[in-house]
Amino acid sequence: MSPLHELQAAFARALLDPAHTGTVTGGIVAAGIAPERRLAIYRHNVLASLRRVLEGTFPATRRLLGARAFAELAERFVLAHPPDRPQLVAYGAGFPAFLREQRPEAAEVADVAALEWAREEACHAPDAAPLAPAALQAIPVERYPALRFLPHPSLRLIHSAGPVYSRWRAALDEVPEPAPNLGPEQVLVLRPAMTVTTRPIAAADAALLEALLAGGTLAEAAAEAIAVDAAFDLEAALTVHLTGGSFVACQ
Amino acid sequence: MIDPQPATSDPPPRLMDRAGIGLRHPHLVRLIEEPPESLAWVEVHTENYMVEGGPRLRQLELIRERYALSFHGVGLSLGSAEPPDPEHLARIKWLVDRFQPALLSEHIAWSVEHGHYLNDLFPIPYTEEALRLVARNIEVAQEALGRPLLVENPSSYLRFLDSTMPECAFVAELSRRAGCGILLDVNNIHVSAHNHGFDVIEYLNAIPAEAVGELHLAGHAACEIDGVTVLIDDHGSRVEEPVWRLFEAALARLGPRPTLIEWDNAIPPLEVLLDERARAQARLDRAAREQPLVPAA
Repeated sequence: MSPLHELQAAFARALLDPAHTGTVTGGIVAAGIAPERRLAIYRHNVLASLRRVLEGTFPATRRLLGARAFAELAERFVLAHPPDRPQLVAYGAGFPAFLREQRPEAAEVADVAALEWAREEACHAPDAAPLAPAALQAIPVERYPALRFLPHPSLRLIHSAGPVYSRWRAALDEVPEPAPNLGPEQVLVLRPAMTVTTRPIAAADAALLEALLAGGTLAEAAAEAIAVDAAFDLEAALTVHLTGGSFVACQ
Repeated sequence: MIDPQPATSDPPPRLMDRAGIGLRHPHLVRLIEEPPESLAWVEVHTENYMVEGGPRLRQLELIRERYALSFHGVGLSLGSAEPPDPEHLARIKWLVDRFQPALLSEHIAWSVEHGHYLNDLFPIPYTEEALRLVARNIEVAQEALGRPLLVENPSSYLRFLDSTMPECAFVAELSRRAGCGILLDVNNIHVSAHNHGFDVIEYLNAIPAEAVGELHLAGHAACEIDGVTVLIDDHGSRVEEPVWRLFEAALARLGPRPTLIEWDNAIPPLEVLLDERARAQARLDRAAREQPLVPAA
């Protein structure tokens, strides 16, 4: 390792763990200020700037946890999992799992974080023109059962044991927590054009989508949905997906 | 609408005496819908547009249809002992090819180590070894991008005992060896001169005038540590009076150069930013009258 590389490895280690500060301070000019305090300016810049990135991506999670608890968890996340590339739109993918591990009692908050991350991913996903509803009309009805649908590249599906959509919405709108008797919610996140849409969908609809995303045929997916809810209306659900832009192709 | 610019450390002539502003999200819609006549160019952080699709790239296209662009990178880590990441270079190249920025710059600093990106600009020791490695990194980047870079003098809060030359000598020699241009950040000179006790005019005089392709202006903050005042380069306020004076000294020495008002924190209304721009423009206009533009050799 070159001397410059050794210095940089020690400097980076000291920034992420103050216990290693002593390995670099000997090489820093004091000039009236203790070298560890000079280093601390950089440590503060790193932590504060990356915490702000997470605050920007997870506003509802922050409201639910409280600003102070969020800041503390965010800075611990930064130290444990610093960005792996200079592309901060990609930073925060691991934050929902980190919350789940650090705060197992608040799993529903981690689900809200997963929803916020899905929105971030959808926002920056590749652009694609959705499959027009008319495209399906051109296909003979007898072929419908065997059709497979290609999902829009921005499509994300979030499952939760709790009312994740209602909690997310309430946190953003700064209204009181949703009623505790709300059941599990599934959320569809999608960016068919330039705006990210976020909507709760029925459990049977989520089962349909999941089967389609896994490459199943429409008949197979419909069977999954009906297994969840015998009254599932396939035609209505499919119409909503086609007008909403859930798919880019079918064959 | 895209008109490719020849990319050299000589800035495009039509931007030579123009002041631009950093593009900030709160101003985006107004800059797209009601472009101010006085504004010829805007600067963006290259990394903010490293996305596969969506509104960010679309907005940048609309901006590019209205203004010339400057891409200012913060993640290449040219000051690292290790060569730049080819994948990151490829991401920059993709954006450069697509948007044809008139200006392209990076920093004399490092931020990547052991696969971690630490999102700040760390200083390097000014040694012969660092000169050799950083010049190599710039050459690798210029080769991959197919055009010269402007590299920016850093602001810093510490310096290393190992340094064997002053920062200005390092910057000047780096530009000579790597064949790159210099983005001279006037606020950084002021901040670092205060923090490390060097003379700003000596610094300015050591910089090869012909290499300077862009100037930066910004506000800074002061904080007290161990009873000593440290200036922090926070880009969160108006340009301070001593920095305007140093800018005037730089223009007297260099002649007009594309000049940017950087404002990244506590972002003010667009009017304030445009007012700062107008102050820079008035000084550029005066410099252009006193020292008419000469075409690059």
